[in-house]
Amino acid sequence: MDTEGIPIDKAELATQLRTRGLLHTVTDLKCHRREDNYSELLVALVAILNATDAPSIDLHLEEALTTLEGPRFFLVQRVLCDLIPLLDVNQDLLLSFITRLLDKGDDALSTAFGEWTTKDAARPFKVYEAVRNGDSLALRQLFSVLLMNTDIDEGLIFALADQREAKLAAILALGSIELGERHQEVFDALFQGASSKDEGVALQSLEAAYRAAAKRKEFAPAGFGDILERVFQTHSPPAINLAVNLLWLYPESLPDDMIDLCLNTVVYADPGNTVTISHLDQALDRLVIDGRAESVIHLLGEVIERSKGQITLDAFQSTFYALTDAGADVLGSAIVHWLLNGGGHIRTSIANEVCRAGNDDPPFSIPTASLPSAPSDQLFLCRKAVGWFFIDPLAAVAIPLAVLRDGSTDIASDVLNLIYDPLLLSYGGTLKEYLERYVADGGANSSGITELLAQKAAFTDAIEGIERLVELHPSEMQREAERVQWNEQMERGMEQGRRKSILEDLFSKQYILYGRSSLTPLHTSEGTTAFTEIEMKSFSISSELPLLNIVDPVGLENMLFYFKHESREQR
Amino acid sequence: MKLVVMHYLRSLRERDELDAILPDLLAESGFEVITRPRRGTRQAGVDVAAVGPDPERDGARSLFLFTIKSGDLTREHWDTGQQAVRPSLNEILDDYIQNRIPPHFANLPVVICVCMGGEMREDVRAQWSGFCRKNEAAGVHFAEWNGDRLADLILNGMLRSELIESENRGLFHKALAMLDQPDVAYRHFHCLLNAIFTEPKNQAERTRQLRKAYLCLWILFVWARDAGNLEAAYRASELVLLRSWPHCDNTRLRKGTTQRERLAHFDQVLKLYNIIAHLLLVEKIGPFADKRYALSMAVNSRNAVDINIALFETLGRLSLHGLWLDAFSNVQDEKFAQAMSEAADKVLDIAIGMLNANPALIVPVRDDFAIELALFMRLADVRGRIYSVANYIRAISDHLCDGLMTRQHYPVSTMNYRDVLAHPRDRSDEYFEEQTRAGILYIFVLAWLAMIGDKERAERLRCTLLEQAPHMTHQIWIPDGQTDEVFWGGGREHGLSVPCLPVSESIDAVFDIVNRVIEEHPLHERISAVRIGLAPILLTACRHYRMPVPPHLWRDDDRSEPARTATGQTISDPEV
Repeated sequence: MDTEGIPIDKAELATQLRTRGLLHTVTDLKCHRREDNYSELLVALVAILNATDAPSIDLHLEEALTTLEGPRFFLVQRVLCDLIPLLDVNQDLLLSFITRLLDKGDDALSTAFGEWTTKDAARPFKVYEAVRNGDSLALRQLFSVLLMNTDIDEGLIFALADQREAKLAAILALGSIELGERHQEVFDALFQGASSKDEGVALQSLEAAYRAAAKRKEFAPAGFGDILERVFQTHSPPAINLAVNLLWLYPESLPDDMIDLCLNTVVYADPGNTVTISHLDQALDRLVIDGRAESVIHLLGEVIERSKGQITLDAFQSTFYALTDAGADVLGSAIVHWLLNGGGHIRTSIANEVCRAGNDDPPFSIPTASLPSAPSDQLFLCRKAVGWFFIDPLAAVAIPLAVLRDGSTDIASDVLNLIYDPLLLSYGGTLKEYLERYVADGGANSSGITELLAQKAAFTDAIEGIERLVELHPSEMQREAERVQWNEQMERGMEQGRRKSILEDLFSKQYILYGRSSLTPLHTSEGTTAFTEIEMKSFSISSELPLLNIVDPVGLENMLFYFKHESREQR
Repeated sequence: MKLVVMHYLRSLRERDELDAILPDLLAESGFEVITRPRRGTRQAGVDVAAVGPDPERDGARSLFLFTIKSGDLTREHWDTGQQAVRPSLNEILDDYIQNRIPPHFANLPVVICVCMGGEMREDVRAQWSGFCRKNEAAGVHFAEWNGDRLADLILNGMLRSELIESENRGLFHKALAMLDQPDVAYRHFHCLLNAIFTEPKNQAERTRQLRKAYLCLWILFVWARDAGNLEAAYRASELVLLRSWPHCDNTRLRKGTTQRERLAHFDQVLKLYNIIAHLLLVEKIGPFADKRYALSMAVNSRNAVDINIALFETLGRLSLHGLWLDAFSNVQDEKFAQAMSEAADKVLDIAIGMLNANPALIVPVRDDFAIELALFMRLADVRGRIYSVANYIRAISDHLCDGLMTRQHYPVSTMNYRDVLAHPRDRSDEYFEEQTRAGILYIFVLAWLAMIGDKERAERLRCTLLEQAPHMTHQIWIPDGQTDEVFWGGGREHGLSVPCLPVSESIDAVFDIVNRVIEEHPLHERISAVRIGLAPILLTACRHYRMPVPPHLWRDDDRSEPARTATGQTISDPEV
């Protein structure tokens, strides 16, 4: 049954409600808020359900729930959330109905219940009473009821009482309610909770206090900082989680020293806890935007190293993009820091992020200030860059060029040698063109780079004529076998790439076999079908196979291994 | 077929090249060859002298005096230049006929014959005709043997009908047509040789078979040279050399004409093999050998395995060529010996340059590349240059240890290209054990480390082997009584494998066993070529048919025991 454009048949609707129950009926209606007769439909439903002979709202509930999966449930939930506050039904029945739905749905249902209690002044008190009498269903809705009724008095009563679950719900609510003039009273109560020996109560109270302060756009009272420091020393998962939440959700309530305290604590985040890590990513993203990139860079390195490769920069995509957006210099500084001070995991991770096929320019720039002052460290940095970024020559060459520009002249010759072997020797395409542009633009130590280009030209000249040595070529059979193996590797790579692509989950796939554009029928809301023509474009990425990886794979591997794992000189 | 042969004849670039086949051609056509060409000299204008029927004069028995010219005879070559014809003809008239005809042929009519691979151009014909008219006398006639006539002689003489008309002609055509796919060309040529070397009715037929094979190789080589791809020709030359050897081995032939003919023939085959090897390895590859990565890049593949295979193949060929040149330097002709000695050194230099410029050669991907290493180390040894290459064997040892420890870049025991290409498929114990179940390379490297006195490195390699691959069956191979019979034709069912080398015990224990094997199974008793000082033939067979080089030949014959450790009691005098 589709309500779209069709007048509502109340008798039919009533029959449906009586025979199939509320959930089935709403599901069958397939109605949407944007539809013209949505309000009319809600009114009709309320009229039937609020009548004295109304069918029970939980009729055939279980059966209906088993048939509603995933997104379909949430479409129905939206209608129910609009409907619930309008109902005039028994509280216990409604609580039971909502609790059952909550197993599949989300907090919007609780909010709807909270709103339901605001429709009648007696309703919240009946809920409080039920909570005090130990009604678990009512307890589950206590937070929403307090919040929706902005009930600071009852919140304080529950917060200071001994009933633990009600206390936690009330503390949470107090952190969320607009406190107005009563903020001191609430902060006092929360301070008392924060000082509790019960870690759950203490952490809830601390988070509520910082949340309340953030809402008021002010720092939390100083006393909370002391407690926070004590709590964070435990490095317990809930404490780390609190630190992450404070950075993520309420950074405006944290003075600088508290931000540093939180940053020092989140280093110990469990890498296996994807939720915490995801929240940390959001928190660090905000901090970068707020101008704390340097702290974030240090923290990221530590977190990833501590995880021993369990998490990578992939888990911090928001933060990484924030660092990239903050400017090529910021990313460059991060890379210098990680290459100089980081371990293998963060270096692997950053290499995976910055090395790309098809780069025409280095993906980052190196600010002068980020370079180490000691010549030996500068050379060490160059070797690290070549070792870790070898696969992307433009990324690899950025740091050696920066050292030529701003570093010590004592090591210029060594740096030039590094640029030649293995980089320029391996890559005759993009890198050579980039260095030619570099020289043409008058880059630092152009004469040195010009010599390297001449050396490369001499290398190429020396091998002129090797095409005549056809006797060394693999046989056709060998070429065919190699082609088959190569294609298999490429297919496996593409398959893995497809599996990792976020687009894979978002869109359905279609394979177009012929033609240069596609004509796709689209069904409009008016019931007509229109064709949309989409022109197809080809796209490709080319990358250069490094010569040394073919002619001297073991030598290159050993060289890069040394560059990657060489320890920094201790001074 | 005639076009094929004529193309071949026309493409012969040097006079020497036509020299090389004319005597055999005459012999097969019923001539008695009196003098054969000698290196660098002519006898009073005569390159070849032979007695046979003159078809221009009703088949009258005549003395033919040939003066040879490669390619076409043109006006420029008539009177001047290195290959000038007229001065040679005058020398024949003034000197040879007057002074040098053996007395028992003095009564025969003389036919002075200008022989050329191509044709006589019109611009010189008038001079030629005038010269003939002027000098023709009773008993002295002139003849012109051009490429067309030589082709007829070849087709009716050396190749005869069975090669021209049967299906075997197709094999030869295919070999020539597929020169740009050397594998295919070689395969057809191999089949062609099988067809040629059938069981003969008598020794004369065998000689004819040998000449056919040789001529086919010549034709293949010339075509390959014109096509710019010598690969098939090189491989075919090794094959012809090996297939010819047992029929030319003087220890198997009774003294007499046949033995002489065969020895002379084998000398020709060997010369052709060396011409091809020199052209490919010294002239073509040589200039690029010491250019950094040049040969690696010349392989023209994106796969490092292809490069590794091609480079080791080239190293083996170079080393073998050097060993042949070294063997040639042991002749009495001092000038020739000196030239060969210098050529051998030059080949070794090319090989060393190649090693320095192509680091892929430090990491053999296949265990059987021990054959190439054995040839190379032996060449360095016979040329007294171990000091130049000792670091190479050290570097290989280090890489072998690293490969075993990391389970990457370690050599595989298979020769199957697809398996080598995919290696290592994974790092599992199962795969590793499968790929390292047996080997000849490690023992060879251990032996050389011991021979250069690097005991520490040898011990490190031994310990790595024990720790990482205790399951491996290390072995050496030596020929048995069957080898000399079947090896030259490519048979694989011969020889003795010596496993159970006590690597777990000590290096000395290993080489005690190896030395005992050498002493109790002396190579010269098994292989006649070794007995008569032609060990390179056995080495050629080892390389070509992919059988290990016996430990007897790891070092120079004069120091035939291959190994004693530096602490051992005898023999080794490390040259590092």
